[in-house]
Amino acid sequence: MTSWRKRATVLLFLLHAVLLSACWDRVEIDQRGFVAGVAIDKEPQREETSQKQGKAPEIVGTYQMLVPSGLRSGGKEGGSPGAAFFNMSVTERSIMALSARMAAKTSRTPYFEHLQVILLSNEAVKDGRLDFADILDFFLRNNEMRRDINVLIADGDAKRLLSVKSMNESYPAAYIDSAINNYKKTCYMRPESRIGYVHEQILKNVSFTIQKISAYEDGISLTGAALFDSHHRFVAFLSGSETGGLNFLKGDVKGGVVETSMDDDIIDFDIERATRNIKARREGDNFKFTVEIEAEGTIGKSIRKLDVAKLSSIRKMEDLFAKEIVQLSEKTIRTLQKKYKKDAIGLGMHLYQNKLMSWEELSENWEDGRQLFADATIEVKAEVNIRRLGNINQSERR
Amino acid sequence: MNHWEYDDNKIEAKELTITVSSMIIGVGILTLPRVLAGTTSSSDGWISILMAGAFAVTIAVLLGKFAGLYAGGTFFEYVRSLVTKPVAIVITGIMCVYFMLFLAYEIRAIANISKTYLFDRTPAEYIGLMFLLIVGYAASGTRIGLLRLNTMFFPIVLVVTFLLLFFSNSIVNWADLKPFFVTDVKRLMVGAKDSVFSMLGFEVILFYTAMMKRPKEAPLAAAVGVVIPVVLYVLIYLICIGTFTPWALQEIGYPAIELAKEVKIPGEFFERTESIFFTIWIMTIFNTASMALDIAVHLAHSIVRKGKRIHFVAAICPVAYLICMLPKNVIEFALLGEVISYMGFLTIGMTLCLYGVAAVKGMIK
Repeated sequence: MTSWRKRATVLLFLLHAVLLSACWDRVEIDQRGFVAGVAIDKEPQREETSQKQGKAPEIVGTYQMLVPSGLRSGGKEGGSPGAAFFNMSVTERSIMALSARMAAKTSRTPYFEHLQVILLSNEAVKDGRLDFADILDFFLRNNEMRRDINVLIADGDAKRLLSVKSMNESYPAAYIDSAINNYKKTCYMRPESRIGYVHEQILKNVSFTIQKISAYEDGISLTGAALFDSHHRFVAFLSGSETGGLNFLKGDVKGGVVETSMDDDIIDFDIERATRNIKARREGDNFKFTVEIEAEGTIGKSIRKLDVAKLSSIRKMEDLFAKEIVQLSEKTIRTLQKKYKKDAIGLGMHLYQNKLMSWEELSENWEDGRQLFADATIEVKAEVNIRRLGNINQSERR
Repeated sequence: MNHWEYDDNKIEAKELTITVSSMIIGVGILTLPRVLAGTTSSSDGWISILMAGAFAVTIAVLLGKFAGLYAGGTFFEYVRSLVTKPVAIVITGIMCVYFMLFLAYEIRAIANISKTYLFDRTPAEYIGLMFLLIVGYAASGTRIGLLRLNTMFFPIVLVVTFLLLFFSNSIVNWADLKPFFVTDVKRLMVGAKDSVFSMLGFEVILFYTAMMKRPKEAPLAAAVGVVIPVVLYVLIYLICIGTFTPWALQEIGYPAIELAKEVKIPGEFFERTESIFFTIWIMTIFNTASMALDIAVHLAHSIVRKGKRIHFVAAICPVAYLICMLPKNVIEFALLGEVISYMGFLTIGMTLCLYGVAAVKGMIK
């Protein structure tokens, strides 16, 4: 009895060793193909054939894969310039299929946990047949992905942007990703558009903007924004100054410079922080909005004729900067109301959050139908506070 | 080998509180924010949670009072003395099945979630089996050991969850909570019903009060034990709304885990917050599952009154495993969850009836 028991116990332990020691999910780190950036373009040539066959248009996906050994040795030192990464493109009808095809082409399986940026060509999202939400679906659904991947809309070819010279970073996706955070230094850039944010905007059925990326000399430029309507269709790109106005209107300004002229000379205001406050009043079926913008910061550049130590000259400058901000914002409002009729400022959302009764009554006719947004009266008021003068009063004595 | 014997196998009021809280906090809260975002508008789900909380606290106090009546004895014996033996067997049997289903549900849930977020290729069956084996091991030990394990895990769970909520402050957009009070009462009630589902489990008072030093403290301890998860649920819910907006929250499978994925702890040292969150959440689900098994075993044992605990563990585990693998997909699985929740209501209803019988028979002083 005892010996039988002992044997059974030993057998059980051996069985444990066989059955319990396993690891389905083990993938060595050098087997993974870390995807740092994805660019999606539309396949231009075969567009017509697929249209005839009634199939979804084909897309070109470009993955930027990292080479860990190239990163370790300091990237570009010694080896060839592209040693830290390589780009690979394939053509397919869906993004999932792209990944599968990609796996067949590389030695390493694509691994998305460290994906930083997704670049979508405006050609790909402009076409109604290739739905914007459908493109993002894969990135939202796959659980390797995080909701803080940055989405950017490329002006033109997106693929090309993944092979720009990456200044100061070891691969282009990292270059783009760190440039995204510079919205704290300029107001001509939108704040980062995380894929989670984009998902929220799509579900809210509101117009929204996404950061724009374009090639600039041999690097990139992120000024401007891509405007999407409430059916998440790409409408147009907003220019840099229109984006600046939008940032003021949405209260997204985290820093940057406002430039205006004073006595035929240029003066600069370095914004430290800006807030905005919206007031809405209903007049019949029309709405009157008052957007109050308050900005504070330092003088970035003064002019020699001016004695900034005087309170009167500070006041004068403040007024000029405020006027500039109002002009910038009003230009954006004109563009959005008259040209595109899209409420990217989020005034509809403001009504939903604060004037629910009127909003439920009118939401159908806000952008569509009677287009109440385009007829709304929007007044912008700005107040600028110059808190500090910088290190010096004057650079030159009169 | 010397076994250390505690001088008494009794628990204090605060240990009962922790037991109730650990039992309630399980897989429910991982999905509750999504469910509430679907049934209520804007951020009004917190009212539903509070309503459900008030309901649960009331029931918990009543159950605590009932459990105080048979301190020292077992549930089955007391019910037998109240109603006849066959009725007692049926009632105890239903409860035993309920806790077994509860166990099955937790196992499948942990298998599903682990497969989604941790083990991409490991079959869910194996994840569930491993978890069940460990739970079975825990439940075949002493009951008091299980409760002390709760006491050990629970503070860790609370601290990590609160840290997570604290650090999520930077990604929450508080304006998304507006507008307030826009949901009608009917939908609030539906939300409250959904919230009660993820508060079930406080019935454990019925079975652990017997182990208390001073059973009179049970109702209060149970009430506090329910309030802790309610507060936690409201916070997690509001922060989920603020992070994802009500629109996106409806579409996110496991909002609480997604929240952990979004949170960035400053300093770049902890890049994967969700792995810490996941670890501690498996701990609390382990607590819930092992207590459910323990009670199922205890009830079966009290009816049969023969054999050892381990025999019952060995009998119940395979059944629970088979049940948990029955649902083919997540939708069927959600259906199983609903069935179990209604069964939970049934057990509560039965117990309240028994309390009524005890009152009629004049057994309550």
